[in-house]
Amino acid sequence: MSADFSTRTRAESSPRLVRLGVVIGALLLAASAGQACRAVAARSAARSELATRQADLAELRRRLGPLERPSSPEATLRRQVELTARASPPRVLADLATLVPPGAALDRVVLDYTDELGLELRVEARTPADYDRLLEALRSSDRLKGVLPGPETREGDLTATVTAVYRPGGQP
Amino acid sequence: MALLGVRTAIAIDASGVAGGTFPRGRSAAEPTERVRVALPEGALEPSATETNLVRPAEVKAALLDLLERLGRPTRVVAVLPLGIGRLALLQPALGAEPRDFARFRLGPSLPFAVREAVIDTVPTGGGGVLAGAVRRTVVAEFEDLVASCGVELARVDLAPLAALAARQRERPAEALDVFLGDRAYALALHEAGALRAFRCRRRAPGGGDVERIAETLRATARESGRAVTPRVLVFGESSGAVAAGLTAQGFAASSGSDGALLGAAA
Repeated sequence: MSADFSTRTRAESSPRLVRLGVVIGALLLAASAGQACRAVAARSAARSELATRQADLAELRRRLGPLERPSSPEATLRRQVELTARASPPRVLADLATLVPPGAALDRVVLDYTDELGLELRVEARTPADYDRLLEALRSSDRLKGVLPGPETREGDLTATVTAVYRPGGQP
Repeated sequence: MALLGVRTAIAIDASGVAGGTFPRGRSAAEPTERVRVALPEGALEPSATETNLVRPAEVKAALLDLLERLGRPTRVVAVLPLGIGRLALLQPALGAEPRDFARFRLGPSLPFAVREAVIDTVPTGGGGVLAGAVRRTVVAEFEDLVASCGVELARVDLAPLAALAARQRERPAEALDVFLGDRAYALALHEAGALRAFRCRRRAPGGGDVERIAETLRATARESGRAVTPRVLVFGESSGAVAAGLTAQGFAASSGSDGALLGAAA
């Protein structure tokens, strides 16, 4: 520890080691600043990407909203009327008739008009092969989707229940 | 050139200005270069209250010559001469800030108002401090002198505080040091790694100087209860002659390194 009898305040000395330290510090600072700039740029890009994604999500929600909202009775009735007009029972039965192969027959058809037209088909087939050909024809039709074979019995002829959804406008 | 550069210290006294350059990173090292430029008689007279630079132009010329020979340093530590201030060994009260305590103790004994004093201390071991008080206007005289030579002052030290502090770091078990100035000398008794006694006296250049120093040494040894006077180390200009004179007086005396006086300050 050294005494100092100076009467004036002076700046601290800057010996070479200190200056070297300052230079190294400046270089580290510059490197850190570069890294910080890159980090800021990356963060900015990420923010931009996030904003885009959030906008997309908002748009999807906006479009999904009406679909998620419970339908009002009037709207349901209107859709049922429209659906009945586009898929009248005679037309549906006619379309189904074209799909039934030889050896199979439709014993009963239940039409359920809600937001879409659900079908419950009670079918009879002479052999399992005839039943398989009927299922294949139903599944390959553009007019039907969600074809699900239900319970089947084999008492003499093969009897089974098949559910499906009718799509108006598709190819039989 | 030293890896970390060099420090430069200059010492100003009545008979001349001396300076040395020292490698950084080593305390109290021998100077890589030491230069002394004599001053005309009476150009500078160390005084605690009066003007020190009696003929400032001559002192400035000598200082410029010295700086030129030292390679034109831009920044120096200036060591002001013995005799311009009051020095005292103090034992600060527990918890007291040494500088405040020194101001409290030295204030009443100063030949000028304490508010005019610049006071500082250096530790001397065992909790003690060596305190120095110099009149502000006196310090300013030397500061102006150095500034007029185009050199920045890193620090202003007072002989022989820095050298004493350096000696304390060596923790001498038992020693008597004599620090010679042109107009005054200081005597320090080291014991068990601490400074036990300190005296500052005017010199008697006309004759009987060595006898006076010898008598002060004996008195100090007596007061410390010693039957045998410790070995004496003499620092400063003409230390060899004084050491020889003390040896003739019966002391085990030798000359210390003059460079150490500057090196400790640098």
